[in-house]
Amino acid sequence: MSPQESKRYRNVKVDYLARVEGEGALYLRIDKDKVEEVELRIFEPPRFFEAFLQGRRWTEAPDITARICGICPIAYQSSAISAMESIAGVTVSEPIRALRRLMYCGEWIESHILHMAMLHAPDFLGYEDAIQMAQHHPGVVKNALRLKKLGNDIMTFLGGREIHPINMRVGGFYSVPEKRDLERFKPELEWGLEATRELAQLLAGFDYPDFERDYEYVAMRHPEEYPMWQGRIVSNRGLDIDWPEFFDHIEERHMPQSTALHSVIKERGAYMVGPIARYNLNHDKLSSDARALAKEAGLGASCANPFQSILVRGIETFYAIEEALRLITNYEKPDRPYVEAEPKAGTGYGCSEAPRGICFHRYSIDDDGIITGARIAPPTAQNQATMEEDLVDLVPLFANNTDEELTWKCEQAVRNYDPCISCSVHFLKVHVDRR
Amino acid sequence: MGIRSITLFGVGNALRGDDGIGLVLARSVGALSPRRFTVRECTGEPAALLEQWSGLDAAMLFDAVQSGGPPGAVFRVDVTENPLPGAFKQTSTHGFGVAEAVELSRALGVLPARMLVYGVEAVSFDHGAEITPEVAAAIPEVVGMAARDAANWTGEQFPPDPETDSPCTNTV
Repeated sequence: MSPQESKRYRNVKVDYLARVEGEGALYLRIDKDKVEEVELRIFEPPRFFEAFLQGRRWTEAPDITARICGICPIAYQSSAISAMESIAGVTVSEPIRALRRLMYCGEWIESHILHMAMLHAPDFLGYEDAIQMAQHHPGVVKNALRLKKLGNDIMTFLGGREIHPINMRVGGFYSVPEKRDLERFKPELEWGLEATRELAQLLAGFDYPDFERDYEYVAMRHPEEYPMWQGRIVSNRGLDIDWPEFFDHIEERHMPQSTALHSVIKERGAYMVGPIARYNLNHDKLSSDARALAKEAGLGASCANPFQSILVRGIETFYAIEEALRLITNYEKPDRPYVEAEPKAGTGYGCSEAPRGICFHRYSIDDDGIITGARIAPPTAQNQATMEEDLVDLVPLFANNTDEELTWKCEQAVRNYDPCISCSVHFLKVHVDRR
Repeated sequence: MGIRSITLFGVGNALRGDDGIGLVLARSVGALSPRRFTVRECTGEPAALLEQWSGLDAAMLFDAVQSGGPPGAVFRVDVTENPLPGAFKQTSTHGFGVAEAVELSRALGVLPARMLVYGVEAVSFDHGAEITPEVAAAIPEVVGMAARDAANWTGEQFPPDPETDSPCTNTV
């Protein structure tokens, strides 16, 4: 960081915004206490996944798109599989549905824990990073690592490996486990429930900035469960659509500063996806224990403070562990690991709740099952406009702080969204111009 | 009594060109003495690394690095004494990889009592590519270096002298 001062401008430049994934920069131009201009500049090269999916077999989409992210591959696999199954008219059995949900629980656990304990908590405790935090809170970090491993182990067991798992396919799984093998996770999951409860209590004690905005929250909603990979797409302002209608309401805009697309709701503008949106739109679908933990941690039925996303992640992690236990208890091995599916020409849509928010896919295939078109809206791209708007409102609250403090607060505000910039394609440098 | 067992961590992806060098090195050193070496192949996921090396007496880790130096250049760091340089921080997810796993282990007091990290400057991470000739050329040097370090730790020579080496009795 190299703060400089002149009569008219104060410039703050951070060459590397740590604790996010991907390559980009944040530029702020500030006149006294007013933000004149804010840009999340995404300069990581485009990755062209949508282009090189064309010409590939329809059954390859789940494994190819899983490569977009090492932290949330299940989200990409689930959305791609749902889209292809909708084209083929495949309905999977209840045990397959449950195993997919269990995989998703593993992903939420490992991704949320990494972000909460290793990447975001240091902001609130005043440490540069998790390594410094570990020197003062070794118990918290050890438990977090053990919880992350629990999530990874579920993904490895069901998927063959924790990064880019290889066992999910259109129609089901290549191989499904015996119930007795799944049950070996129970003791560690029971431990995880208590460890997450303790973590949520720690998070509840953080000093959160007094900052709330009037957001449009967008998440999936399922009639019977907290959403992971099934459900309609809804918002708190009347959006209530099935997947094929996504691009009727959501517009992706190319911004000159970014290789990611900015998503907006056509009628209204920026919106928020991710844990807070899910929580606010699905609080009634959480388990009673998860709702009680949320209440104990000081959360109501909805939350409008993006800095408290870390706390909501804690509640969702608790829920994911509970849900994993429930799914394992109820699991019965299916007769067949997958349903045969035949391609036919058509367009299919898939959506699932990645840890960071909805991950939307659309594919077109021909009669031979060759992909002729692909479009993917990752969660970080959908949150990009909201992150910028947060900064516009946040900066005046900290205008009297030093450049260093203001920059830290802006980075923290970006980290509220656990941005996976290389999913949308990215890495952050922060540059602040003040006059 | 000298060290009886050394765990070798090979970090990388065999399908991404030079990223596979860590795996090849761990296997090559491990082949010198299956009796003394245990080979673990890893993606570099820090929680898994930390769990696997916690409590070990002796560990060696092999990885590809990107420092901008000449292709095939060899690094050797005693991480019980020094942090890993920036060259080891390139290929992690969410800014969290081998270097961070080492420092986190140090902070938590679970770093192996003896731990050496060997790196080779990589050139290409292309999908499906072979390890480039410049990087592969470093294999004998790194294996020889690790064999000498292992000899210092154990008081034995690698590969073992067939005249004096007792039969292998453990399985990995």
